[in-house]
Amino acid sequence: MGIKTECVKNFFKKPSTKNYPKEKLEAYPHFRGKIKYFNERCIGCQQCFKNCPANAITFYKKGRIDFDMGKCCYCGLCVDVCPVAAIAFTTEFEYADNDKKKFIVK
Amino acid sequence: MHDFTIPVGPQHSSMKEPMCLRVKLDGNTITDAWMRLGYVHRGLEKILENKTVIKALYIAEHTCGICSFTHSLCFIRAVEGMLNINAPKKVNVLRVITAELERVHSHLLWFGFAMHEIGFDTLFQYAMRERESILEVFERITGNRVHHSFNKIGSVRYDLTSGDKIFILEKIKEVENKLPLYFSTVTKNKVIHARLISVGIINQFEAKKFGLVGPFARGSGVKIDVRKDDPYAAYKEADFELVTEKGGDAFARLIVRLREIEESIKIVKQMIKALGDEPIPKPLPSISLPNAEGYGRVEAPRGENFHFYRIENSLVTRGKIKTPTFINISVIPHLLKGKTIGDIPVILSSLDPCFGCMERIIVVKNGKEEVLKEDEFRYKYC
Ligand code: SF4
Ligand code: SF4
Repeated sequence: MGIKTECVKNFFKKPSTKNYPKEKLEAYPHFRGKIKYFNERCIGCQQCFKNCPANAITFYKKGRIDFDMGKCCYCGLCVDVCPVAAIAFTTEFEYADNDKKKFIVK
Repeated sequence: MHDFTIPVGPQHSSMKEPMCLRVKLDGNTITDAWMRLGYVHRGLEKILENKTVIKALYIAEHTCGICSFTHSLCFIRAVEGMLNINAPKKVNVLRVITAELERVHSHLLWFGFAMHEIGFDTLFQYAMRERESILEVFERITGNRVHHSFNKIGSVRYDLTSGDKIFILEKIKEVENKLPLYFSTVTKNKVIHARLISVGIINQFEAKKFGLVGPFARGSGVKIDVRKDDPYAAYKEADFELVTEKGGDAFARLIVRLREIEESIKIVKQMIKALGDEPIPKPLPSISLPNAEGYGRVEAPRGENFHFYRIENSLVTRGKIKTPTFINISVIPHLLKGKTIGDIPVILSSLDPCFGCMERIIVVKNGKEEVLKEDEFRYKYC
C-alpha cells in the first residue's frame, strides 16, 4: 500500500484530531492533574513540604499550605508521602492562565 | 570568490532547540563549521546536589522531556546497584515495557520531524497521529504523557490491569499496521532518496573513532547497544535483533530507526506475555545510604545514557549525567564539510539531537578557573 492510497482513504475518514475546545478528550483515572488539598484532614507534619523536588509547596501552618502548580512537576511524591491522604490529584488539566497567582492551590 | 562565514541559528527554521552553527562558505559549499552551544543550560547537576535520593530521582528524570523514563531508569540502576536491591521480575518487565514504548514514541517523533525537514509534511502528520496512540498508552498506564514519574526505588508506580494489557496491545497494533506504509514510502519515494542517500556519510571506522552511540552508530554498521552489551532490567529475557545498516548516511539512520520501532513492538509484546500475576512491591518509604558511589547506563532512544552519583549521608553530593547527544554532536562539523547549505537541516536532524538534555557546559579558559556572576557571564559569553 502506498502513500497515495493512504491519502485518498483519509479523505473519507473522520479527522484524527479533536475539535478542541468544543470536544474534549477524557483523562484517564490515573492521570495526574491539578492538586486538591483537603485542609481539614491535614495534621501539619510537613512531609509534603520536605519532599517536594520542585520546591512548589509553601507551608504556613497546619491546614494552610500553598501548592504552586506553575512549579509543580507532577511527580506525585507529596501525594505518596502524606500520612492522612490530605493531598490528591484531580484529572483537571485546563488551567493555563496569564496570571501566575491563579496557579496557586490553597 | 570571497569566503563568507554565516551563522545558522541559534533560532533555526529546522530545529526546535537553540544551537548556533557557524559555517564558512565557498560559494554554496561548506568548507568549515563550528558550533556554539550552551543556550539551554539548566544547571541540572547542581540542582541535584544535596537532595535526598528520592527527590533526586524526579529531578534526574527531568533531564529530557522525550526520553525521561530512560533517565529515571539510569538513576534507578545506579542507586539500586549501590543499595544492592534486586527489583522483582515483574517490576523489571514493567520497566522494559515503558522504556520500549518510549523508544517507539521517540523514533516516531524523530521520523516525523525528519520528514518535515525535507518537506514531506504528509508523512509528518501520519507519524504524529501514530505517536498519539503511544502517548495515550502512557497517560493510561503511568499517569502522565511526558514526564511519567513511573519509576520508584525498588518498584514502579502502578501495576497493569488486564484491561491495560489489552489497551496496549491494541494501540501498538495500530502503529504496527502503519509501519509497512512508512517502509514502502521511504524505500520507493524519489524525493526522499535524493535528499537522504549519500548525505552525511560516516563510515564504520570513523564512527568508532568519534565514539558514536545509538542509532547514529548503528547506521554505520557499529554493533553497539547497551541492551545487548550490558543487559539491565528484563532485557536478558527479551529476544530482539540488534539492528544495523551498512550505508552510514542519513538514509541508513532512517531505516535503522524504523526497524527499531518494529523490534521495540516485538519486545513489548513478549514482555506483556511474560507479566506475572504477583503484586508489585511497595516502594521504599525512605532510604538511608552509606557513603557510596555508583553509576548506571541504559540505552536511550538516542544512544547510551550514563549517570554517575556520589552519595554521602543519604544525600546526593555529586551527579554527572552524560547524554547520547553530547557524544554524537561532536561529529557535526566533520559531517558538514564539503556539503551544501541545503544539507544542514537533514544532517543535523539525522543525528536526532536533543540539546536540552545535552548541555553541561562550564567555562574553562587557558586551564584557569573563572568565577563569574550571572551578569558577568552574560556580558562576556552570551
Ligand atoms: S506533585 Fe511533586 S512537584 Fe508537585 S507539589 Fe507534589 S511533590 Fe511537589
Ligand atoms: S504531608 Fe499531608 S498531613 Fe503532612 S503537612 Fe503535608 S498535607 Fe498535611
